[in-house]
Amino acid sequence: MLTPSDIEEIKKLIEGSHNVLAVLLYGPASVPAAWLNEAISQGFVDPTKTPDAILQDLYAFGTYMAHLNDPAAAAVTSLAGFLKIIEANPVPQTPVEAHAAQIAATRAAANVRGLGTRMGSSAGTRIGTASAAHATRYRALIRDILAARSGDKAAEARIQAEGVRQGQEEDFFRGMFRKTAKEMASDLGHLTGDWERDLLRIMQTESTQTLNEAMAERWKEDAVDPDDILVYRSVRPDACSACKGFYLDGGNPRIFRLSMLEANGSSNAGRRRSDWLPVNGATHPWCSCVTVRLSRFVGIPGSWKHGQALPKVLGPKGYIT
Amino acid sequence: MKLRVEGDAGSLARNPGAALDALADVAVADGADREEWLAKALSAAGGATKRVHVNGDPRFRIVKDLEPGVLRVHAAVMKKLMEDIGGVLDRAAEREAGRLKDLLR
Repeated sequence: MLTPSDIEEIKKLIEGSHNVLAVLLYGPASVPAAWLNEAISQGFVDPTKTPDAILQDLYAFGTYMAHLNDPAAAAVTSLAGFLKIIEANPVPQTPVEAHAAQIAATRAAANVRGLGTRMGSSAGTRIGTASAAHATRYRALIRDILAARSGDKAAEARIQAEGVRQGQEEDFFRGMFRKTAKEMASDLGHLTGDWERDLLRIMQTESTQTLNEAMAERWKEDAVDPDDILVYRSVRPDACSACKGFYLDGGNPRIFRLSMLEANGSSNAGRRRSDWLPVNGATHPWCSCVTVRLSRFVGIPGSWKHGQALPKVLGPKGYIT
Repeated sequence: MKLRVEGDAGSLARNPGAALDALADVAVADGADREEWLAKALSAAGGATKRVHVNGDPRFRIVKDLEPGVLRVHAAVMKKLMEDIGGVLDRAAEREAGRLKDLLR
């Protein structure tokens, strides 16, 4: 049903949306002008104002907290509190500090772009496969419609039954061909299942899968021993019971060895629910829980075991205590 | 040892840190102390090293304050993306329905 140029257009849309994300998260100074123009043309940035970038102060915050003379104060200072202090007592950044912060933001924005390219590619492939399956159902439906119009009562009954099953009126089929192409397209969509919902599911699941896989690859690149990489999942408040069960223990994040999570498979795709395992990728369709690396500087007690929570190290709010 | 730099001065100017690091590696391999050597090299170029305090017992944390903002931006961009993709799908579905209408004429 989707042509190769449709799928190519979807891939470009996915990549473009990540360019816009990079602009909104890291600021226009961190991205090429074309990405800013994309954000402007999509209505996310007002060209008459300098947009706020959510993460632009993060580098400065981390650097200043590391250099604060009082570690206890650094531990309790929030980003919002830090920004208030800076607003009340403005201190200009040195050129080196400003340069370092800019390099960090530019690299981060480039990574967001890289994720978009990777997600566009993998989602494009998945959408192509889903589209082929959808096209098979669609062609069977068209055969029935043509047969029914030629007087095949069995074919008409099949369409009628499917229409009712999908919540259509009893006389759905008879009224179908008096409609516009747009209304007919909607009717056909109802008969072949919720295509848009299928696509949303693919997009959401693929997005989590791509993000978690890409982050894991980066961590492995700079690890002395990849087996030493420890991670936990940032479980959303509205997460499903499977994710809460796998990744939390009494509200505290369980800590895993990345290599052992990966040994459980890249995701649970193709497994029955009863066979699901904690994984690094998408735990289930629609999953949006992200894997986070536990800083390599955090000391872990020798008695710790894979999958065990350590409330004294990592609390429920994500703070490392 | 006197060094004459005959490479592309532009690229050296763009990556002075990498050039200094590489030279320091050579000096350390010859038995020099890295910090002393770098301080000397910087001083020769008119610069100076400065010691800064870094928390000896640093506390790392996830900046949870940012999560709502990031999630809000992500949700808005993804909503727009899905609307745009919905447009591609609608056009494809209408194209198919148009073909069916032609077949049924």
